[in-house]
Amino acid sequence: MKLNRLTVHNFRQFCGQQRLTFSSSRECNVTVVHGANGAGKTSLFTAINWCLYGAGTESMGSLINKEAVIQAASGATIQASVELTFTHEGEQFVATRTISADKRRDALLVDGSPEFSLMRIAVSGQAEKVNGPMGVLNAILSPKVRTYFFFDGEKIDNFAKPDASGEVRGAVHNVLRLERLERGRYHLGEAAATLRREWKKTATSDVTHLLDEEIAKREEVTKIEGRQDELKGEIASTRRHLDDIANSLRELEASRHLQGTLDLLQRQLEGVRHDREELVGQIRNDATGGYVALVGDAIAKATSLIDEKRSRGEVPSGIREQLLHDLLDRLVCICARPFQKGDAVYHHLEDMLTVAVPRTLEDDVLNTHAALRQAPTQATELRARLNGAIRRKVQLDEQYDAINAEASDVRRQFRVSDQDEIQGLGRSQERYEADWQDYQVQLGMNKNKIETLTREIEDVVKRRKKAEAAQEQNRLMGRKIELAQSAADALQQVYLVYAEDMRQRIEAKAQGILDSLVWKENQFTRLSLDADYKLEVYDRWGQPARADFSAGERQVLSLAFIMAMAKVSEREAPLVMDTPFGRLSSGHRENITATVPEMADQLVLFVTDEELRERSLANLRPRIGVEYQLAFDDLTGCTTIEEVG
Amino acid sequence: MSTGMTPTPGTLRVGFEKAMRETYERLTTGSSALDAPFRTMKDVFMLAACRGYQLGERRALDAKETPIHWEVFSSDRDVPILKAIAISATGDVAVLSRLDEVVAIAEEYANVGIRDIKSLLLDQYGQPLWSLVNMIRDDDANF
Repeated sequence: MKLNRLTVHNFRQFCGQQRLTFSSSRECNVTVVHGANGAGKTSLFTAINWCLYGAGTESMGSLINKEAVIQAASGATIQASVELTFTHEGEQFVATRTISADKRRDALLVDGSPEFSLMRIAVSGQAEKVNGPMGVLNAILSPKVRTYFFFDGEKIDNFAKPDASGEVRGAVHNVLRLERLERGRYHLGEAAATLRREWKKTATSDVTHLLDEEIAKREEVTKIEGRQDELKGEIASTRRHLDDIANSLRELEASRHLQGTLDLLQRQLEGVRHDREELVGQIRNDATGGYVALVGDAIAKATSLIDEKRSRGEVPSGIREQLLHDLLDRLVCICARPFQKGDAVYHHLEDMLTVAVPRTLEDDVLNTHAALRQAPTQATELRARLNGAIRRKVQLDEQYDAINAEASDVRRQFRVSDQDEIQGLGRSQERYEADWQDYQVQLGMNKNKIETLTREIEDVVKRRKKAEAAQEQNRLMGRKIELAQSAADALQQVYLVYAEDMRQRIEAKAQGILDSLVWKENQFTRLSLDADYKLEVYDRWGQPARADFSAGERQVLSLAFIMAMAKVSEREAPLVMDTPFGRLSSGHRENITATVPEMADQLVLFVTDEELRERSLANLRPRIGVEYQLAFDDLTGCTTIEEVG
Repeated sequence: MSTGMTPTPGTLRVGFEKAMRETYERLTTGSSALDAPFRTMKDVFMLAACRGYQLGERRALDAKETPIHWEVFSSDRDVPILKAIAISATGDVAVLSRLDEVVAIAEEYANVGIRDIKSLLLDQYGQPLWSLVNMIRDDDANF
């Protein structure tokens, strides 16, 4: 930022419009504004701060020039404004802040808040309004750092006070934009912490454990399947033994007839088992479709509602479908010729029923009605079938029991035969029958186990896949956390290195400035700005000496620090100082005025005549581009800006 | 209840509460007709809806899943029964033009019916097929 021109209008001591132009050439970069106490130096300094930032004053009313207020008629509106033209990175801007007040008989009523505008001047000379002016100003010279570039001489020794390390740190951070790195590091650290909290919430995926469980179950299935094969082998072997025994009993004279009976009984048992299996299948079909038998009430209600609507003419008669149904019910064709159920005419009429595609509610209602008409008959038939099937099942069960009992009796006769061979065969038969039955039971139980395990395996596989997906998500989350934390840590390193570099450079620059001030050169040999941002000066005995500083010495030290900071920051910003040398001795002033023009591209000094005298002014003279005198009129209480030279 | 939109039969799906999935699976999974008499979940659903209607109770669904496609319901038997239940429940034949409402009503009846079926078929001593037969044969009063 380089200041070009300041125009004040009815602002404090300045009645009407007053203007001053700042020097901005490379060689003559100093603007000096002389003024006695109360002439308006601080007002002009305030004008710059107020125009850009709305800062520097508590009372809006005190900004308006009193003479302008006096001259205005009662009821009139008086305006005070400050316009500041400046250049930044090749672009020219005009900032204007205006305040209005109404003059009442006894008071000045400030009209709302000051208005602010920022205009950009195009190359053509046309001005265009800047949108988001505060954002633009913030980027040019943030309010946080303005007090280090536009600084008040009264407060200039703040940095050198014993407990000022916080302020020094704040100044370095703001001026050198270290807070950006700090912010970046903070946000990345927060992002990593947030991700970490989310990561913990997700269930710990125990993929290995689930995989082990799956493997174990599969192994168990394999084992049981192996056992099934063995059992089938055992069953086959047992069957062979039983067949051998049966053959032997058939061959023996004494047992042939009985064995023949047993063979017949076993065939009958087989037949009954087969019939029972078929019956169970039929029962299953009817039972699982038997829900139609539960909703007779609903069907009756629905068909009744539909009939009611049809009788009231609310549903079109659907002549076609209804007619077909009527014809099929009556077994009479439309031409009055009778036909038989199942003949060609019957089938033809049935086919016609299925051709229609319902497209309207009426069609849907009628089709539903037609389908529901069959339901009661279907339900009745189903019940009848089920009842019949259950009766048949009972018969088959009884039959089975009876045949089984008879077969058991035949086997018993073999076991108690007076012939040893037959007895032996009978007992073997009994053992093998028992074994066979055991094997069948085991076969059945194992089949159940396999089915259960298969379902469990399906479930474990699902859970494992879910866990694997969560693990993958976890892995990605972990990677994100790593990246965020690494970036935060890297930024922290950059910050530390950069901050340390800046601190050392400021320290070195401030040391250089102090040396150039040739200030108690034999007394104070070293300046330090330590890692905690404590500004200290050491005497020739190596002892800290700042606590013993006078106010003026603190001012010099602060100035040295500020100038070092401004130089190191390489910011394009002017140094604007309001009575900076008030408390300095002439020796200090002379040294500082020789050094200070080098510290910034543009320097503006608001000074009393006492501050800049003789040698001090002579030091500055080669670098002064423009000089003003503030002429205060006792009569009007107003100041006029007069260019000198 | 009805969403106010009429879905096409091709997109419509029928469901039940997630908590009842195990019951549906137990009644349909396994090689033994005596222990798992139903061949499809649709058949279980139909029985549950009819049973719920028979008990005269409906219950809105929590945490629903919708694994049954509308197309598996037979148009000459299952669909007319569900429509009859809907007409009877609402007293209005116009409900037939709101297929999603027909389904929603059936789902709510089924949500009650399935709990009764679980109690009668799975939580009692005896094989589920015979318990089912008894359930249907015991209901002489309906027709």
